[in-house]
Amino acid sequence: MPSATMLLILAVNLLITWSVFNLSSKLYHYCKHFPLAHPLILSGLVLVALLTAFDIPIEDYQQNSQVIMMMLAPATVALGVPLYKNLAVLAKYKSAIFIPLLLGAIISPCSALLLLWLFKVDSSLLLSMISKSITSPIAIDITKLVGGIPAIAVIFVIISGIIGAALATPLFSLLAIKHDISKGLSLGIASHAIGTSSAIQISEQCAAFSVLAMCLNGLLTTLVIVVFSIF
Amino acid sequence: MSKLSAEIMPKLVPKFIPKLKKLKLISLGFCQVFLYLLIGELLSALIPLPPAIIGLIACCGACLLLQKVPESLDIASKFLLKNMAIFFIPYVVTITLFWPALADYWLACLLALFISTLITLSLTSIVSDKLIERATQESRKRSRNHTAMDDKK
Repeated sequence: MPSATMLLILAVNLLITWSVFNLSSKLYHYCKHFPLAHPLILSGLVLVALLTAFDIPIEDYQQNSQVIMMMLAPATVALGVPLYKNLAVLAKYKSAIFIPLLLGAIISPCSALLLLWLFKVDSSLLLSMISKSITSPIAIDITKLVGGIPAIAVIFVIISGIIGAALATPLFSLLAIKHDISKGLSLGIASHAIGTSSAIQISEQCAAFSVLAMCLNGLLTTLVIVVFSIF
Repeated sequence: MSKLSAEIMPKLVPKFIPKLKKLKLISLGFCQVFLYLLIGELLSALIPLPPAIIGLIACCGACLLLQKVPESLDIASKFLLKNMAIFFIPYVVTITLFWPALADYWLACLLALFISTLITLSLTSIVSDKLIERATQESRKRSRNHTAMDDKK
């Protein structure tokens, strides 16, 4: 019965992914939050190593992890709960939130573009870099609008997410950031949903502001790009 | 047999009932989450936003209408958010599939992403920390003035 074996493969896939992630997050705590030992980096490396060791094509793994990938949408919806719980704090600090948001939304793509231009990189890659700090579904649309390559844009989105999540803990203690609100905002602006997933580990308030920053950054950039593409 | 069950059941049942209750709540919460996702899926035909983001706004809006987070939704959302990072792993693994497309530019891209993320993270967090500090000081001063005025009265 092919469907039974299919189900078994899916279950094994889920179990392995889950246990690799849990082990690597244990190791991450053991390494005192060393950036390169971030669970996403570590478990990604371990899984790729396992797949190549057992001669399983990565396409097969991707095909069989559709269930895990699908869960991302309900998890994003669930972010509405911490957002609701922090609406009062949001209303209190609305002026203190908008300025860093605007600053981050401008600096994040501009600094990356400038660096790539300095490195003399291809213009199609340059255009795919514009949406690097925006949650991937919006990033794909933006990249199509400006004429970049969506598949590469998604890579940039994921990598900047991982970098933000990995850097967050040591960077915030180095800069002596006091408020969870600021931590959440910067994580949401720089590293969208992946940053938000690590903001959840800090506190519920941090997660709420990360969600807010992620959404507003996406909306703001889309608006700017759409207005620019009209003219 | 019946005697055995009569002895064991009263011990077992109280242990299971809270777990069943939690299971019921969490499945009820999941139903709500998927309902908001469905709303997002339907509305995404009208609004140019991804379905999940519209669902997020719908979820927050529903809580606003109810003026509280239902316990079931709270439990389900905590479960989903605690495990959110796991849902990214397949995406992280698939980077290796598209990596060759970057060809000779991978180091430049990685470096640009790293530096730009570092700059964005530090600048936004520092600026917002300063602004929040100022806002709290102002509100503290204002409340102090208020109490002083109350004292004069």
